[in-house]
Amino acid sequence: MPRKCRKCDQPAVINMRQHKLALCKEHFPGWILEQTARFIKKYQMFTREDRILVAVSGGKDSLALWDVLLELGYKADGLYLGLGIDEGARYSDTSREMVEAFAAQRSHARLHILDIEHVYGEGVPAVARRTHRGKGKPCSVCGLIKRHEMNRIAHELGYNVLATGHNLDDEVAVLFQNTLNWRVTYLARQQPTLPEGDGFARKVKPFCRFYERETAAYAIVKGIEYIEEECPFAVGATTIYYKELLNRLEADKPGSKLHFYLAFLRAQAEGLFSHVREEKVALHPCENCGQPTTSPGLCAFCRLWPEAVRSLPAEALRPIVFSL
Amino acid sequence: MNEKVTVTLRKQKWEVEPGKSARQIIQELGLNPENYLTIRNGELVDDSVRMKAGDHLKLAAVISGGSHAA
Repeated sequence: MPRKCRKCDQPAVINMRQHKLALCKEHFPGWILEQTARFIKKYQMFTREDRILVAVSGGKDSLALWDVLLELGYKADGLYLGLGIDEGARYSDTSREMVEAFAAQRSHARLHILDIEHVYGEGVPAVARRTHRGKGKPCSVCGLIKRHEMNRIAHELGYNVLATGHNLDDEVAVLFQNTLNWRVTYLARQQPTLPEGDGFARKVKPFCRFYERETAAYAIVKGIEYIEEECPFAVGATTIYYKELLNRLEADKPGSKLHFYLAFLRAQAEGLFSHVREEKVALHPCENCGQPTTSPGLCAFCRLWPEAVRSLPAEALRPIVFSL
Repeated sequence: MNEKVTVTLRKQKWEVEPGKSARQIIQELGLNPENYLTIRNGELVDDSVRMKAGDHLKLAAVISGGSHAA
């Protein structure tokens, strides 16, 4: 017999074995909303007074997150960064189309778009090739550009909170990797909420306790179209390998991923890494962009670009606002 | 009418016997059910649902590489 919804007799669309909870297409979206609201409060992410910028990629997690925050009534706008990734698959173009279609269907959704290639003259793959950062894989350059630009744009447009769609599988894969390598400084700062300060916007992950299959299911049930293809550069990524490994464990022992993450957060709250947190790294403003950096002179982002690009006027760096 | 169940995963395609649950089909293809959602004839279904002859079962991969701002 197919499973029934816990709350009614309709057929379930998802069974969350870690919660022993199966829900139908009517009750599942409501459960996601309730749980997200609970996590936002529990981890003191933001209130209705905050201005939230959601980093949207066109993938299931970020679009589902934006939808949930709008449904919950938060002031949440979207930021799409065009990274110039094509590789014969039109990856960036397709992801932008998904984000624009999402925004076009919601009159109260405001979407900011910044095309890196258009503004800076080169997309992520070209920068990675030129600078040799990342040894052939542009993921390191990509992460650096995204972090810098999201923080810069949030600051310049007056948003105090940056929300990303990281789910529990993302968090556990990173946790697993950092534990294997015993990177305590990284473990110390892996949190659902990173407070603002020193020139950084507050960073929050409201989906940090949802399994990836739940965010995907939410997008499907709500009819949100998202890019299903993986970034061409993510093929063979270590993160994916760890996720598959952890899902093998989850298949045998339901709840293992959730337990690993929650036990980690508990240990962290009890002070397991408190000695690391006390070692505060000195930050100062980059002499070009003014963003906080640990390195003397230019920050890592500004060092990626030649002088002519670094001195672009402020208006050239402003994102455009999407409109139909 | 096709008497088999058509299963697709991105560009891959299989035909399997009806009467099995989506979860069983995934396992028999050597895949991990944790990595997929099951969509029968365009509707998301729990993987305990048994497939009938002529059904199309789409396996939607849920693992992404952690890129959150393409």
